[in-house]
Amino acid sequence: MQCAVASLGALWRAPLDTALTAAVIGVALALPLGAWLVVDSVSDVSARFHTTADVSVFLRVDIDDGRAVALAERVGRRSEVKAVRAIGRAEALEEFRAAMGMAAGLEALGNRNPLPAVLVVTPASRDAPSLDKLAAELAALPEAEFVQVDRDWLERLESILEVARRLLALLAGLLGAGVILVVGNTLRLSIEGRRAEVEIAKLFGASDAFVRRPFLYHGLFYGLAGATVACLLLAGGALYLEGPLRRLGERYAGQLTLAGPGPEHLLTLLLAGAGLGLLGAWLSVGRHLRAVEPR
Amino acid sequence: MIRLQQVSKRYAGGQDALSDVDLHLEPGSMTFLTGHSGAGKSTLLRLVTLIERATRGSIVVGGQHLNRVRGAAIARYRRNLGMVFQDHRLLMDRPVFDNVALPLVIAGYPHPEVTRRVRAALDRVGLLGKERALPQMLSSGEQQRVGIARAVVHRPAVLLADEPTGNLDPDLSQEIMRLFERFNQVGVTVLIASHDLALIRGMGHRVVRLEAGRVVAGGGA
Repeated sequence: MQCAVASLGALWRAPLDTALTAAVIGVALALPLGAWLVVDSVSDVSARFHTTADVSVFLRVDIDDGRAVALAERVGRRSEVKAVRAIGRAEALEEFRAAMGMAAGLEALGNRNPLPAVLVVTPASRDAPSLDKLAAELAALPEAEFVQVDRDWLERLESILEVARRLLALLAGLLGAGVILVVGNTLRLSIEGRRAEVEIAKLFGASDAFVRRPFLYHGLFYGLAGATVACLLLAGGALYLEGPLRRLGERYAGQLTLAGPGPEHLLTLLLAGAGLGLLGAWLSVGRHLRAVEPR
Repeated sequence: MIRLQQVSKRYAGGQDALSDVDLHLEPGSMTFLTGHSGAGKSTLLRLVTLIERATRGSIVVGGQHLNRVRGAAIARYRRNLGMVFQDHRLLMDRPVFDNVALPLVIAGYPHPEVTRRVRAALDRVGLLGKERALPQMLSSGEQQRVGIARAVVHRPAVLLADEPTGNLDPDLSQEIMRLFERFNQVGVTVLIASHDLALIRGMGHRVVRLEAGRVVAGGGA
């Protein structure tokens, strides 16, 4: 305990060095976790969409609304279909105009409506093979022009998210190694600065553990200080992004908010900071203290 | 207490610092090692403190064969020694108390015991009341007394000193030597390397003279 307090005091007496080291560690810890939170939030939205994946059947433009409704009734009787909603051509035009803000462009077309009627088919089963089979059967209908499974873009998004997750794991590994190197190098300099003290302690019978202990505390405290900086950066970043994300969510996804940083993220940061700081200290001290022997 | 048999030390450059040294120090004795600069006095002390290893021969201290002391046992062995250096080797950014307490902290003594022993050691060297002073606030003689207090605070069986009066004037040197005598009188085996023959001749203790790494006077039992 005395040793821990002494180590804390030593760091406190060098505030600039300690702050710089903590800042570097903080940025290295905040970057991957911050990016992870963004990816996690997008994944959350994607998961919500997955539960409402429908099949859109775009009918030929020569199919009028009456035939579209009749076709919807026919399709709705199939066992693999849970519900069908027919969107007539006029309704589609209104939806398009309202949702995409393209009123001016559509005015230019005069009275012509280029949009087809659409059947929005809600499948009874959402597993991929059943959905693909249903989509193929609907595409084979003579009235159908084109079938779109709404799941497709979600799957593409999922693939992108998976790549992003793996890149983040790599980034986290690299930045974690960076933290270890930063702590290791800082402690190497600290050992050089206290070489005489280490030599004297060894002359009076200090064990390796005794000599190592203050430097391990240094590493631990650097890691914890860096984690605190990372927590502040993440909290500040979340506040900064909150408004724009909410507005983006309202427009496209219904609800889009950052999935953190919550208490579990802050705890993870503190544990990661402490662990990486200790590991960096252990590796550096083990290597450099061997070279310091009484002369 | 300390026995060297046929001890030689050759440094990497091929220079022989000690050659076939035989020396036996009885428990509770006080012995001076003397000789010119480069005679091998410091090398002999470095072998006894395990800073260096003998190239040949055997050294036994308190029943321990130093050739066999390795790894963590070196630290345990050194805790039984007290060491005083010409350049004091104090931690200049720590107060006197911390400097003197170091061997006790290393040995894991509880805080009240550390305080009690440090105060007792400082009292014996005449520095009680200077616990909070930084070493640079003290004179050279006082710094050396802090070094001596540190060397004896854990009550070692053997006290080794390498030119402990090298930077001090004759009066202070006498004073420091009287301190060593006082510790020797309570049973501590004292071995002091010093080139100051005028100082040590009048003290009536055994004097071992080294020349070019060999014992030329005062060796044996």
